[in-house]
Amino acid sequence: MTATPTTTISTQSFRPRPPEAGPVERPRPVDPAEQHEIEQFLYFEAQLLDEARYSDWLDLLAEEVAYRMPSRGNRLHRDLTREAGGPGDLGHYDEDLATLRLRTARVQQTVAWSDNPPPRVVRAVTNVQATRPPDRGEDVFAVRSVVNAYRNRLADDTDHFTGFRADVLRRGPEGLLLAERTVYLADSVILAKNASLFL
Amino acid sequence: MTTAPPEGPSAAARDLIDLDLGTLNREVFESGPLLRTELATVFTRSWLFLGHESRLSRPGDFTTAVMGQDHVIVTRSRDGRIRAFLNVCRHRGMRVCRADSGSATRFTCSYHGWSYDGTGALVEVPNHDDGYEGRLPLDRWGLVPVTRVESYRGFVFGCWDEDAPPLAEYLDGYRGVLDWATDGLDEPELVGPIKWRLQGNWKLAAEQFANDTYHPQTAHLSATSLLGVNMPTEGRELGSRYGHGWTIILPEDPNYAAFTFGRDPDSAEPGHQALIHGTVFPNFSMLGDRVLRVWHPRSVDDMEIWSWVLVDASWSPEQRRQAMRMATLTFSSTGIVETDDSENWSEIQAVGGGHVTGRTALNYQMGLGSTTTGDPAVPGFTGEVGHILNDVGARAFYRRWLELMEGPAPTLPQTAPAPMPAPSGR
Ligand code: FES
Ligand SMILES: [Fe+2]
Repeated sequence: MTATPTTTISTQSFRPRPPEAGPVERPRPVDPAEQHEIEQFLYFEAQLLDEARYSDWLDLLAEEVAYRMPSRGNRLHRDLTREAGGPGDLGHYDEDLATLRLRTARVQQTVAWSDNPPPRVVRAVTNVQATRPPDRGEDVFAVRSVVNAYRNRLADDTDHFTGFRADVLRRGPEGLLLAERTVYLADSVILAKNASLFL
Repeated sequence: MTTAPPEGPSAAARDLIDLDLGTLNREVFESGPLLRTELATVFTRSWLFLGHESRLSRPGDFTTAVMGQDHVIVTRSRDGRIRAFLNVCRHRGMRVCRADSGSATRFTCSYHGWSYDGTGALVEVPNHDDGYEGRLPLDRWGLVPVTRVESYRGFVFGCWDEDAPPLAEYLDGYRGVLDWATDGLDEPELVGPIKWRLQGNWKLAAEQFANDTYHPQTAHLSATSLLGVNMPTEGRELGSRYGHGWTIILPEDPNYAAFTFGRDPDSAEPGHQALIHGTVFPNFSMLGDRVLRVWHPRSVDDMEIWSWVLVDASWSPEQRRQAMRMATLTFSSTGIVETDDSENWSEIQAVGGGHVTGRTALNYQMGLGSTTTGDPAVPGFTGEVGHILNDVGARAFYRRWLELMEGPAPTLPQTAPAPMPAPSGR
């Protein structure tokens, strides 16, 4: 069961609220200490990725990790539920631990020309909103965050990637683990020659 | 060492290519004037891929596409026919349809409200009675139809040239590839596209897919070593007189099974050798039977890549997902093979602006003089064939390119402005 939204669009998007619906329900944030721990986890993860410490990064992933980046399209309001690709659609990432291992193993080779010499990437993670999804116990968190990444490659090959992430974190014996991530980039056309970085 | 094209930025295409010598001057990737000529000839006289019938199953289903730099709507109209027309309002030129795909019975312009039906006919003009006094001949202001739209095996193509050969004839030996890719599918379905952009001339990608089985051992070493793929040695490179080029692997290759994409390798019949990669001239490419591509020329040094995955709609969700995951992992915006191609194309472009660089010949001589016309291993194909490591596909691509660049532009659809009839009673 997934604790994260599978679409970007709520039934409320671009629609006036029906009169019978109540006022907005405010989120129930986790404790400040838990919030702090979650933020520090996400910042550390971003640092490992910035530094291309992929073996270390893999330690932060749960065995059952699912890492996705659906494609997004331009749809009329009536078709908005289909503006982000679902499970049967073609996306930019749909990974499990095995393919994440493969992808990182590739970049750790000197003959991975797209990353040798390496690009310079800076990720900023913000707007971290953590809640406890119902029925998942004390050790599972649903976390929404925003990521902004700047990548400079060689001289003037520069890209911006901005999106929000719907994550599921769970507590393992060594600390928090990333169990699920869906990255919703704010682009329908990726304005870069590749999106082969992890956000 | 070098060829000597005429001075100046707009050298003629003919002076940049010497197919007998097997050289190409890199100005063909750099010249803005040449791109305008390409749009006027190459992209108007060739059959261009528009989409797949699986995305247009019901009347009203539409998708948008680009032909060169001309934006079009492709739709199945109520009479069941698939039509395509410019996605440009005849009033003041607004983009009529701004959704990527969907279903619609009308396309209404968001500027002044001119409204077109599923055949492209102008059916409603606000203030036609008072503003235009009822005098506007609506039948003369419909969306400009693409001259010809034809399908082969569900793949929909459009062409602006009335005199072009029928699509099936144009595809030439490449028909066998499309047959092979779809024969085993009960309900072929094209999923996607995902889209991304690359700072590189569109021909860098189209030409590579048409031809180049030489680069993977170097360019893709990081990916192929991990995936355990050995590049084939027993195969053929083919070049069609219409400019298509493709590479097949023959059943006698020790790695044949790795390229049959789940088919029983022993079931291979002559003429159904597995495709490794290929390009239908000018800019529709394929990888195996799974990944389909269009390389759109946005400007001389900028292409937009549209990438689809061909699946079978009757597959289980898990089978479908696995097919897409494999495509995403290898050839996609994040593919571990693709990223090294992108690196090469964008870096070729990045160093291409120099004056001396632009006047230096590049090498397309592999296999020159050792190709044959037809090949017993490729029944029915009468074009040029060579060993798998060969530039014959690229030479065929540029031979056709040159032929079109030097040839006439087709007569375009009748777009002469219609006069406004005089007010009645005069
Ligand atoms: S531009 Fe389309 S109605 Fe005016
Ligand atoms: Fe390649």
